[in-house]
Amino acid sequence: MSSRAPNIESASGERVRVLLCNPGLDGHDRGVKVVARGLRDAGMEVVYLPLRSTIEDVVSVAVQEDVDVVGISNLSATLVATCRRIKEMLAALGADDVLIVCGGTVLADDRRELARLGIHGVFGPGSKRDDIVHYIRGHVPHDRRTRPAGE
Amino acid sequence: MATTDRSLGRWISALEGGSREAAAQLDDAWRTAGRAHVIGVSGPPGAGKSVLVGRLVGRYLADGRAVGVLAVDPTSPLSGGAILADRLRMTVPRTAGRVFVRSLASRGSLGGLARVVPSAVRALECAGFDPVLIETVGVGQNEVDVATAADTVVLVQGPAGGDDIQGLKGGLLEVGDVLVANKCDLDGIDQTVAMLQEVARARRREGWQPPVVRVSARDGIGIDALQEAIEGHRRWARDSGHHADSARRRARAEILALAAQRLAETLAGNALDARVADGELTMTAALERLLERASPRQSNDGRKQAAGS
Repeated sequence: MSSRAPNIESASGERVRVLLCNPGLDGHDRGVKVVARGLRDAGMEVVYLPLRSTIEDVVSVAVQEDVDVVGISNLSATLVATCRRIKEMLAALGADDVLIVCGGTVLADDRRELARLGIHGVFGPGSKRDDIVHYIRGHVPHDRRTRPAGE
Repeated sequence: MATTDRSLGRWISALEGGSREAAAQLDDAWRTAGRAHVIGVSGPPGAGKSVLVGRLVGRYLADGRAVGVLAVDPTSPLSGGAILADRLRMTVPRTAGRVFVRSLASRGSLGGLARVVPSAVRALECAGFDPVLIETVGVGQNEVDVATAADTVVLVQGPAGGDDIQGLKGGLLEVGDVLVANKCDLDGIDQTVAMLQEVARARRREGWQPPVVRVSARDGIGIDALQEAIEGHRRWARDSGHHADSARRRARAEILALAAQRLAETLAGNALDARVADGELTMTAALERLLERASPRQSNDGRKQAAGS
């Protein structure tokens, strides 16, 4: 399919790393697992966290794993609060360059709230894998992998 | 030097990407860094490596140690992507102390580890972590890179049929310093223990006979005995002079890994492979040119091309 070009890109070492998580008390993980597989098939490295992780876990793992993207799945209407907290905590650790994307059942009001937080990659039921991949590739800073580590 | 999780995380990424600046930082920091006990954990898929590593992390944290973990999972040969799920099974109490866990994709390495592992181990040592645990991908017979990367190798085996065990006998089990029979509550574990003891006895003449430890990683049974066996091997290695050997082995593995990375980058930056495929260059001539271009004095053109691609 459309995965040829990404493979060649990934061969040069610039592989996108994504943390997928489902924090809080939500127990629905089928969707996020499908997304995990889709991103893997698109040549990305996917770190997957267990259900019922805390927001503190998510942020700590995102930083240690140095991911480019945190993907948050939620089907229990707590997405906005979760995203706001993760965004704040990442910023506090100097990791405000991490892209946040969301999936799950997202209410229209929540979409507007998320947009206000600067989170525009919101993928509800029926989203296509290629759309998610395309969004991530288009929004991860291209030089992030190759920039020197620094302090 | 990396003083926060954030900077250490970025540092390992840069090493993984082949950044020379990151490598120079490592050269610098390494001069004054303390040396950690590097513990490799290997075994076939589903043997229970991740759960066991989680238990060991908890055990060392309880001793007040700062623990680093590198967990390697396979890269898909088709897409180049990977699902890094080791930490899914590692229940590490986040509040129990200082712990840094990094998942790495094998990215084409076939020896059970990833190319960056030796350098990433040293970065963790520079950041003050001791011990450093390395979890390999689930391995078969011949993925013995862990033996060169670690001071102490823990091999994990579950209850299994004769065929799997026979397959392991020749290669991987020979590099184990501590042999673990995991899932010790399940049927068939006595067979595993007997096989491991046989392997251990055959190695008596090397001066260290690997202890065989019955463990249930899931239930937390036998973890203290396992830690004691690991520490026993460390004491023996130090007292017998084997530790110096393992330092040299680690250096050798890292030099070779870095060389392979440099060569792969150089090759990606020019069309030597295409010219061999077209019959324009012989394999020997291509090799000579690749080595020339990868050497520092003449590498500038190749580097620029690689960076621009």
